[in-house]
Amino acid sequence: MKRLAIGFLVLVVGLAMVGVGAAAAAGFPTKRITYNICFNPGGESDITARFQEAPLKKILGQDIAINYKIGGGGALCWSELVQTKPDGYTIAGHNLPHIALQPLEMGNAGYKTLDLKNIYFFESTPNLLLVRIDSPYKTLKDFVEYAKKTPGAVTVGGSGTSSANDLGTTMLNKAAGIQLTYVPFGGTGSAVPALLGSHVTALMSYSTMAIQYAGKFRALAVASETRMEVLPDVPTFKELGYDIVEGAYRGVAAPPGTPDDVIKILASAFETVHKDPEVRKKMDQNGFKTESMGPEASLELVKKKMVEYEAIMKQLGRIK
Amino acid sequence: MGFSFEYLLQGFATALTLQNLFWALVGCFIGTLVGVLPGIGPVSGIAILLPLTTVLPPTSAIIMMAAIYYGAMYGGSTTAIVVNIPGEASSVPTAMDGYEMAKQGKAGPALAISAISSFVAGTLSVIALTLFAPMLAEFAVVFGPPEYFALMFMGLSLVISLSGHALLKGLISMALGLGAALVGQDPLTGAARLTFGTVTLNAGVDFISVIVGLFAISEVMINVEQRITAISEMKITNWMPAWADIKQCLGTMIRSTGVGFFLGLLPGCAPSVTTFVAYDLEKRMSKHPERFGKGAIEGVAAPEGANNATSTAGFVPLFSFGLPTAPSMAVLLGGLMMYGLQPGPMLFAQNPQFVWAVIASMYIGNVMLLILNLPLVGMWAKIVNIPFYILGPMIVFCAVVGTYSIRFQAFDVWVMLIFGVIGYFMRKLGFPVAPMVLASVLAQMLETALGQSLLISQGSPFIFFTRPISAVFMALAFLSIGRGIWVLMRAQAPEVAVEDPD
Amino acid sequence: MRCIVRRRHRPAVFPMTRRFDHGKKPLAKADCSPPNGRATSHGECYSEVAVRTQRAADIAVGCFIALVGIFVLSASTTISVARVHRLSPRTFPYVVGLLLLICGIGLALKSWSLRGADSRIHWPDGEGIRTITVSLVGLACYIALMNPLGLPLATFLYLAFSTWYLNRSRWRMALTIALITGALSYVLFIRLLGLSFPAGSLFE
Repeated sequence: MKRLAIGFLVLVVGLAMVGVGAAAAAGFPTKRITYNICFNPGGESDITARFQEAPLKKILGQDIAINYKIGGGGALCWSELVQTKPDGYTIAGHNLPHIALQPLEMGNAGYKTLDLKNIYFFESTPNLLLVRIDSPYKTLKDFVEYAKKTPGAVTVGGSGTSSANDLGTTMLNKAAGIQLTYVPFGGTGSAVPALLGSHVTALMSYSTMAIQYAGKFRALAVASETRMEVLPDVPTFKELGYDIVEGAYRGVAAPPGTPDDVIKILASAFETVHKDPEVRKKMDQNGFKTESMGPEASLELVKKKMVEYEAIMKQLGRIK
Repeated sequence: MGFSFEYLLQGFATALTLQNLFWALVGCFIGTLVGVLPGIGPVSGIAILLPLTTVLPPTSAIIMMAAIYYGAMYGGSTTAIVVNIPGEASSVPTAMDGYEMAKQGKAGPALAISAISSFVAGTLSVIALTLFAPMLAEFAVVFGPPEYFALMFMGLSLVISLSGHALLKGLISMALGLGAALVGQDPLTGAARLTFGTVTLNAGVDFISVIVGLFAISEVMINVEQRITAISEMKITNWMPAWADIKQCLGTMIRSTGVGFFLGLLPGCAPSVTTFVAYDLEKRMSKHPERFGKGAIEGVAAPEGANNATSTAGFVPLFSFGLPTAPSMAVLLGGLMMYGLQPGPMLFAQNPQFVWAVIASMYIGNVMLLILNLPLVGMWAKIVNIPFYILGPMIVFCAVVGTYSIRFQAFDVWVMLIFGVIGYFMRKLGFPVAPMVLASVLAQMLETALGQSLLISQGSPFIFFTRPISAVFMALAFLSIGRGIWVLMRAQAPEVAVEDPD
Repeated sequence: MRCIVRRRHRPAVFPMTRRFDHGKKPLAKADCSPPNGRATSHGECYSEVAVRTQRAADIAVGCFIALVGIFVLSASTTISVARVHRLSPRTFPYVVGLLLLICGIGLALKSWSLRGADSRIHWPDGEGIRTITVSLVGLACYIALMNPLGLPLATFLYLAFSTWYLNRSRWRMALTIALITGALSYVLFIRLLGLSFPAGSLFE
């Protein structure tokens, strides 16, 4: 009896071990894909990922497991990504200009901009200056005037250091000749409560939050070329005399060394998701601008922006 | 958004359908199973079961996800009590007293009181949620970076009271915990610290591997060294706590619910902080504080109650602002969004039936877990009787698997091993372990909040004292520190951590 | 069908009944409470020749911690500060290093100045040290072999070895448990839950 039991167990284990070999042979993807988000839950990257989760699953046939790795304005997440196994089963949301600015400014951000293998850029949101709806500043002019009178006292919250929000605040400082203090948060998801509780005077955030919190926040200006369709009453910085066009592109990236055919599969999956009219409508309603840049186009954009940002940062005095 | 009794009743009607009950049951069961392994917490549990939820109608799916979440909390405390493996940081105080009780043959009552305390806390919290949600939401945003810092600082000052007479050793332990948490990138600026140029250390040391190492591995080492035959030889005769014990804990349960609920409203306040605060509060209010750490039943009831209250409170910002305060909430939010529900302040107003059905099912989930787990207490409790030559390696196996599953990197398991050795020496030399855990959990939030506060105040540290709420916390913190130093001056005994288990 | 097995004559490391004292003298019953002795769950005393006293250990540890503090302080001076921040990334490491230094010295001094009641530290005896070392090495091998051999196989080897090592006379039990757990870990974690545990790079 005992021998039978032992024999049975050996058989099970043997089969299990054999199964191991068999599993490795099939095509990509054969198991769950981990999708790392680099900012707090509730922020734009998070919201977008939630929109993408279900359609991606349908297309790729595997689960998407969303994980958070928060810190350093995204630097923590991306530096971890470049050390992960490049088998295509771990991807992370990435943001321009963050990935260009951080290695420039930080010296050692834990990753290099071009290490991140771009899969797709799917959306962009322009920067937007928000104050509370009950605040005394009704227009950007009021805000700037107040800031001129109290240099350093006006606090502007935003997502991350060396990020779009950070850069946008510096740009406004230079353009308007004021001194705003930028307060970095782990993501828009933690910056918003700070404004809700009046702990900061304003937020340099993204268009998404202006729509989501329309009843609680007032948008003073948006950093896009022309007014946004979903926010027709919000003037652009350009209109008001400040040449600031800045925002964040969001996409996904994979560790360096991920095989190109895997990247292609993932890129086409994301492309299909964002071409779906339902998804597009939801994104537009929430203040996102849909982009569609595959691996090559993304790389072009990243390289272009790297050069641009280096010049901007030098001009703003943030790097030498 | 308003409270309507009608809606709540409708919610119960929906939640009590046979189908939803069944899925809630499945969720509870799977959640408990998943919570038993450290590193695989509620977030992973829900993520793993996400495919199943897509074939279900939205309400059932959300109900199941919430049930998994609670179940995982229960699972975490079970292993903390029985084998000294805290399921996540919030189970650490439970492990401190619960495992001592298990060693004394009282694993049954410990498990039972943890289930009962969780149930009471969960029930009270759901009631608070339904009645007071709008007001509570306002409270949640009153906390800004200075208040967070003051709260965390007060949390660290708990080190003083947790160290008992071994104050210097407690401070060293705390400093080591802070140091371990510092390794990696600065949360505000991303600068690499204490990484010695290596890429692996850049990602930092995950505190779960530290905790599992300090508790589980070092405990196994000590047991191996002393060649014990089993964690407890005593026969488990009763698995329910005495009625007197329960009465004793009644005050504990209510207090810990309060602490856990209010702190849980704050975005970013992890359950680990609230459980420690609740534990410490109980210790201070007890007439015999020296019992804590040696198997005081309140020491199990308090963190468990706080834990459950915190997770329930997390729903307030979620429903009122659409703000998920923790990753697990975000997963739930994702679930909501999958069904086309718009996140944000309008969720409650636009979809009351759905939201109230979820709230009703939360209550039911509490009852279900109690019913599920109490009978199983006897079974779980018997684990301590398993001969150690079998149980020990199995504990190590669970610890390794759990730690590896954090990031799927062997590095984390090595960290666990190293901290296991460190924990072993700490126990031998009389260093308290709890301050190290607390510090490593609080460090990142502490530093982030400090950085943000100093930016807001333009460099002035007085901001913590001019704002009312943070001033209160800072005052409490300094009182705690002052008392600790006074005790140290008076004490003549050598520095042995009297309260430390072992 | 009965299996006839030759029993080995080595005494088991984990006897199923009583504990071994290895010839050390137990203290008198009255002295069983810590820190002089440790009462076991059996109620007998377990004490041994102390290798170090608490006071000596505290002084040594205090000095060691102070050195760690200095080390942290020096390692923190190289942290790059890119821009001017209110809270420099160096601040917390400096605080930690200072705290370690001050408390370490404080501990050492305090213990040194203390005369009088002292207590013993219960270091394990020779056999204990050997058991711990072997167990730790076993665990280290488990972790090291997890990637090349895969979780199920490494688990099987580790559990088989450890369970056997802790109770030599029950090797069949050890094998059985190891087999079941190894197979279970494959079925549950890799197949059913689909988590990315290594399945063995040697096999892929």
